[in-house]
Amino acid sequence: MAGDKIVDGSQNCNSERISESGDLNLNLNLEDELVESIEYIPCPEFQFSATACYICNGYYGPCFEEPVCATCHAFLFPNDIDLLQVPIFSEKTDDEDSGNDEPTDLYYNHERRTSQQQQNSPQSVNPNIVQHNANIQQNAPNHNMNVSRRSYAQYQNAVPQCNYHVLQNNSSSNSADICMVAFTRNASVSRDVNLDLQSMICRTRSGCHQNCVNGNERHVQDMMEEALRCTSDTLATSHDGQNNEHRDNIGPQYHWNYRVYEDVGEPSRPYNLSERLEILSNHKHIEHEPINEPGLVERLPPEVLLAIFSHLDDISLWSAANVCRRWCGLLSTHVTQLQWKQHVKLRWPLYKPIGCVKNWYRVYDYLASSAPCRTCLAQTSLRSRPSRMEENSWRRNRLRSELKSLRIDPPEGIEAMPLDHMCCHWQATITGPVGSPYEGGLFYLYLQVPFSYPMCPPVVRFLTKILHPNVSRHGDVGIDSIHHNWSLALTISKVLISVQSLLTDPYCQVCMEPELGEMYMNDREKFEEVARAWTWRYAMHDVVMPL
Amino acid sequence: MPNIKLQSSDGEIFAVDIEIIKCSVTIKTMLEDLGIDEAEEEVVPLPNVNSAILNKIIQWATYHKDDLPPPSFEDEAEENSNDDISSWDADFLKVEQSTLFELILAANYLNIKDLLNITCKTVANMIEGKTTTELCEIFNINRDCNISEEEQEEECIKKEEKKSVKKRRRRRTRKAVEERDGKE
Repeated sequence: MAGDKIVDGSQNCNSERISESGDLNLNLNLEDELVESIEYIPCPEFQFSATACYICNGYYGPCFEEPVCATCHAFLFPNDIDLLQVPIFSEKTDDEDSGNDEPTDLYYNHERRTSQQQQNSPQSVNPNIVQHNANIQQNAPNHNMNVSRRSYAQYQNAVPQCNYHVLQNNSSSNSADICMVAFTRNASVSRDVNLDLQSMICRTRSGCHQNCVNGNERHVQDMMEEALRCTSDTLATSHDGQNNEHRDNIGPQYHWNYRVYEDVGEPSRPYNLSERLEILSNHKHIEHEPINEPGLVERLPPEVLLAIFSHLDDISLWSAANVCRRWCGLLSTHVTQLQWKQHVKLRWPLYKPIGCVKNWYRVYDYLASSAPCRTCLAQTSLRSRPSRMEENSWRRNRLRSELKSLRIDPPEGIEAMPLDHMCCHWQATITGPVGSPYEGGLFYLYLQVPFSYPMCPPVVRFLTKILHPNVSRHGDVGIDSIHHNWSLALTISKVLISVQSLLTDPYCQVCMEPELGEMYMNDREKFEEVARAWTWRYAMHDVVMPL
Repeated sequence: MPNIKLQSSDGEIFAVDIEIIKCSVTIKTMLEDLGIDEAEEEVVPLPNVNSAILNKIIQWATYHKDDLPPPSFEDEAEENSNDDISSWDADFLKVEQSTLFELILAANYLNIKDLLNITCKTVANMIEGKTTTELCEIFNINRDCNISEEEQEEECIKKEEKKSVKKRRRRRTRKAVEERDGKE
């Protein structure tokens, strides 16, 4: 589309030159031919081969044109930042080892390093966990409880009436007691499973690299499936008995919490893992059962549709607007430009249009459709949630100085800003390096800085589609410095700089997308062509704007 | 309490307490206009509501008959939230989607604000967090046809643009010819 424009322009110049020089009849014909031929210039197309979720290959259901299905997403990319900083690995003693894991050297090293870090830096361990441990110790004095307790809290979230709110309540005595009760019942069954699940998450993350290159994906996948299946079984069996009890006890608190969220107007959250498991394990769930009667939805009068739309957040509105023309028409007349502008500012605070914007919906549409993963996009602005973690001073000081240096002396072509006052979520932009096929593009990135930062690396993810061997189709960046080679000397801006330099020099020995790595090695020309086309199509929001 | 007889579209007659069904603004205003005493023996036909749905609505209205009307200042705050459906209502709305939509249509027709509100919220919850293709699948909306229409439209626009470009170029070349002829 954009590429065509350029071609068009250059041919204009050509034709003008020709027309000055002479033979006009010929020129007329030639021009017509050119115009015709413009239509058929083959735009290099590339699509990833699999249409199903590339992690589970469709095992957990359809992914609806997303790279990752909802279950895998909830599993690998949890939206809950608190979960990210659980000390997943710790020293094992013989009696605690469930015997299920077979740590390879790689995993073992990672494990050891992480546990060393924990030992070396007691302040990075969050106080709540310590407290939880203390609470739990009377029942089961072993660290596994910690992990499974958390999973349990997560599972509690699955009770539909108290979505999301229970987690905050954990510190209050009431629900903590409930947990304890349920816990002692549950502990023997779910402990091992949960431990495995947690360590699996970490392995999958840290092992992404090697697995991709060795074609070992099946391995991880199988392990994941197994773990998930076990957990879902456990959850399903333990669910029935405790469900009612929880609902009764938590009801009033949930209402209180709910008011708090209402005030800040929080956008919708994607399902978390336990909710997805609930859906998968519940056969009666009618989520995907389509309506048999076609045209039933079409019969809804516009005022009812608008009432429905008034409950939606921006991303759901955007999806709804793409469903059919009637909805699109309704939404475009009833959602004002100002609202779309606010939505754009909310999701892409770093967006700076060149020139004045006439249609903010188009901007939103452009930006949203250039994001590789809708769920991740929805996660970016989940920042209003009050954190129950106490920030340690080390993290705070470090981030403050990083912010300062980013403001005073930003690296070239890099911008970054935190999205919340705890600096957990960041948005950054990287301009495509000159000379690379990404030149001229502006790529949005999302960074998640865990509470244990700088002991743990931030999570870095592209929010703009990019064709690169080291960036997965979901946007995850595969560089060793943010996985197993993280060091305290690295900062957010250094991470971004290394991502930028990765754009110039892909590292093809280890790839997130082996297919692209192969293309890069064997057919450089085609790779650059396609990468350039993608840049034009997805990363030129500030320059190329469809009117 | 006086009863009122409601007739569904398939001919079934329901006798309902007037106080219960007064949650429907349509019936309430009708009764006020007609006068309650007169309506006592009359059967009110509801041609847009079938018996299953009417049964559901009466069930809902009976449960909620003692509800206080929500204070007005809270209305705005609750407007944007989707989670405040009470557990009874949530269970009540665990029905097939076609029933849910029929309920919405009936609630809209009978003008029962609270029922319309919770059903809309339920549908909004179904939409929330879904991708476009998923929505099309869930709601059985034929997206392909719409898209192809859009594409056709786009193609039309492109063709027109192409034509205008051609015309402009022809005009430009013609001008150039004229200029050159003039010079010569």
